[in-house]
Amino acid sequence: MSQISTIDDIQALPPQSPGSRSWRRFRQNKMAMGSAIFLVLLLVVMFAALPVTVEGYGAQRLSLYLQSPSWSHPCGYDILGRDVLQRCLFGGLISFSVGIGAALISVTIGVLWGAIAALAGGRTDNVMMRIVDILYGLPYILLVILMKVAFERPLTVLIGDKQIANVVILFVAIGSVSWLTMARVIRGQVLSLREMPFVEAARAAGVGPMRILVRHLLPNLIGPIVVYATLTVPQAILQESFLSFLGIGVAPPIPTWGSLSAEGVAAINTVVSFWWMLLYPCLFLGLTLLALNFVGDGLRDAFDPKTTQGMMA
Amino acid sequence: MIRYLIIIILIVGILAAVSIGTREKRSPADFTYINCYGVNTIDPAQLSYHQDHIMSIALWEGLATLHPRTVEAIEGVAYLPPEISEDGKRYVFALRPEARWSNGDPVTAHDFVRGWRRAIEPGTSETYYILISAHIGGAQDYFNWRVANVELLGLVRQLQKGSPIKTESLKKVLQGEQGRLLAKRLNLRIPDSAAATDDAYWFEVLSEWRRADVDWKQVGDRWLDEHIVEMEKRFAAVGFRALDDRHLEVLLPRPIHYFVDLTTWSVYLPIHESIELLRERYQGRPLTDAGLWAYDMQWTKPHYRRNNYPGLISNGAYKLVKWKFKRGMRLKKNPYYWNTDAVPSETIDMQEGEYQNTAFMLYEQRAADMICDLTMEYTPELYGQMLDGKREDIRPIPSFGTYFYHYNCRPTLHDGRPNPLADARVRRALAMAIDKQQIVDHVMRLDNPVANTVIPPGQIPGYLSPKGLEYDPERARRELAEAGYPNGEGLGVIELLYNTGYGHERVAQVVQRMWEKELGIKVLLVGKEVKTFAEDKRTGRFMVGRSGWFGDYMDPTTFLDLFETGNGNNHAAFSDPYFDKLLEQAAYETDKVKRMQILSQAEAYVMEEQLPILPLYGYVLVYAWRPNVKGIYPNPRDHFPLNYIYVER
Repeated sequence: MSQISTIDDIQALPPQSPGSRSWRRFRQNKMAMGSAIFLVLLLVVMFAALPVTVEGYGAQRLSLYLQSPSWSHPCGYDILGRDVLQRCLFGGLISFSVGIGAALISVTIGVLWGAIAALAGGRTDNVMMRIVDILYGLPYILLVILMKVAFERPLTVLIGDKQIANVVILFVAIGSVSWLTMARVIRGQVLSLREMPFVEAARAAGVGPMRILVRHLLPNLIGPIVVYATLTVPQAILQESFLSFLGIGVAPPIPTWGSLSAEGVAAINTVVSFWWMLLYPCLFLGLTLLALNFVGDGLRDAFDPKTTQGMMA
Repeated sequence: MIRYLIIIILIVGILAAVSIGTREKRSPADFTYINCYGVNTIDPAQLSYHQDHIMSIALWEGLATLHPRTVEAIEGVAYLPPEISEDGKRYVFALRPEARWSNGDPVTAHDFVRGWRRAIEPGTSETYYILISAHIGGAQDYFNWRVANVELLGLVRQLQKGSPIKTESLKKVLQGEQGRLLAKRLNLRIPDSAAATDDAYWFEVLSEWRRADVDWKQVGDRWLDEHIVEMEKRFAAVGFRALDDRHLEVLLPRPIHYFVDLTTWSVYLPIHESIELLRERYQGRPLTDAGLWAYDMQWTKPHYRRNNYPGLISNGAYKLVKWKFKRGMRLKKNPYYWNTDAVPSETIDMQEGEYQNTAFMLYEQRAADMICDLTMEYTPELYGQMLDGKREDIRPIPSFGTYFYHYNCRPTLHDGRPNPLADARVRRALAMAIDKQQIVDHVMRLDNPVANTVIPPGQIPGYLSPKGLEYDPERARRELAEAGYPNGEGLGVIELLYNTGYGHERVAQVVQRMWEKELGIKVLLVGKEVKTFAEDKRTGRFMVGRSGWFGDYMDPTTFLDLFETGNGNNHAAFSDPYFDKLLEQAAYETDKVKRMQILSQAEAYVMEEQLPILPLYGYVLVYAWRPNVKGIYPNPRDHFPLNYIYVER
């Protein structure tokens, strides 16, 4: 029942398409739905505030250094007299764009790599998957740093602006090292789908492998792809934070949640602590990661045919 | 059941044995302090860091030492004042007969010659050799001659071993006098200076040398033997020698009124003759096969016994008992020290605190009596508590040092772009757009003095600092427009290089903002890890680069030499014939007042017109020691000789 043959697909749309069924299931998942709403709201706020924050994130009022939160500035000021709220909102956009950019890259590479390996089979499959195994064995920080070194010059020349190039390099680097799991999952899926009657039928009808991949396999893979993409976004944000924390991420004064948290940690000590510098970026970061993970889980449940009964009951 | 019991007992037994075995039976020292930077080396000829210097002057004593409070030269091994000739160029130091090494041997003038010579011999010499070579007659010539020979011998040995050779090193050797001599002797082609710029030409010369039918070992050994004979002859012309065991003669190229102050530096310390047991010798010769003057690096270890070496012997107030790498050192009073009765602490522990937060917590828990140079994020808060009277152990020390930015003064940048900073008007404009008071008040928050000159004003007696350029955004905009960049148009992006950590980002971000706001310049911050940063600074791969300098001796030249053409620390690559001429004029000026005037004029020239650097503020170091620590006095030169410090318990 969960399998829909291509002929059915073409000839008559069933009353309930798999897409709308999944959407209904997702809607019923309160945590996932709430998280999605939270994320949308957060993004709307960050974009709405952009005209202000694009100027405000770097504006220094040195005399207001380390002012504690007040009603007009609920997140207080940092050590150079910059509004922490504005920096969090602007930094969020940077973190998000790194996350989404990295996820897109990782999904593209992962899907292509996994699908091609599975379709080609034999020695090609073997070689491609061993490469994945080898890359798994290497520490990803090392790869990211190598990527940064390799891409820094060409991308800066291409883009022209060093600071934008810096962000792009970061998500290219993170994206191009985090596609491995994706490739494995997709390969497994394609391996099983490949043996399905509708694929065999397509092959018998003389359809080429690329066309089979695009027309017949990808629509059936959309579930795992969406799920993994959603789960890659928080992972990439976290990795960006980690890199910024180490000082190899985005260059100051452009904030990201990671670099803001790093500044915050430095402001906590045994003598006088400026808690707001740590709390707010971490709150933004933590809630967003949590929400993204809930959404990812929700999507997985929604796309998973096995959960059908549970949801019906 | 019994089996389990046995296993448990065994585990407990092993744990107990391990914990007993590793427990250190060590009594706390009379005085313990934490150094936030590790000691790199205590070799007096090679060290260049402050923490290393403090350790070396506790272990050794030079002709003179600096008083902890007045920071003026007082008697060390030699009696003061020395005998100075009419023309002020010949000094004879008489050594006190009671001065002893930590094994009881008398300290002689030969020990000083040995120590000073190490500082100017390739193989043992390091950056601070300049304190000797620039101030003692013939030292620089001798050093240059030796370096040329070492380079040549290195090349010959590489040919001998057939190891890869860079055309660069061949070029350097063969363009020198020594190299031409060797080529002539071997009947090899002497490079023609007209073709000398072509790389392919040098490659050809190199392969010709490689192909030559020459026994390189024999050539090298013969050259080395002749070099050794010549070396002793030439060394006799260097201006320091032992007249007898108790008299040291020093010849200066010009009168240097601060020479006695200079001799308190580590490069001027004596070395005990036992070090000769660890000399690296090439088949019995006093040098290595490449002509280097070298010793086994372990010679500074207290318990090193190779070749009957007795372990480190020193002549200062203390001897080294223990040195644990990356952990710390223990010093014990040297019973043979001539002034040992005046040394209050029997033992001293130095601990290395790589992680400042941890180190400061240790201090707070009274595991140490003192902690040096706090650079934690919350240092200004500690300072604030001190100002409020809540803490009395926090000690701000306004220092003889300046925090500044280097401007790259080269006509083009490393990637070939024309350098807008080559124009002094741009450099002045950038400097005048910075409101330094804001940085000092709101970023540093340690009451640092604003710096408009490189030499901290009012610290050198008899020296009048020029005013420098003050904050003047109006004039800054005007100068920038005159240079052809009205409102920063056409200037492109200015890159500001700094090393990450220690709050350098913060200052850089404020400067960036001020330039953007006042001058409309786009600034890119480039933060790098300290080693890459230092390399980029040294090789000129920057536009504006963070820097700082602490004066080594109480004379303006300790700062002004930084802008001399070709100086190793002149990262700006600033070169100005007029300035160089002023420095030279000052060097040969015998009248002290006039000399200071010339130097003041020179500083005014670089700090008001040329600006190879942008001075920001004067350093304030923050130390912490409890009120019961005595014998340490905050002073601008950050000088705290350990042999005066004790703790009242």
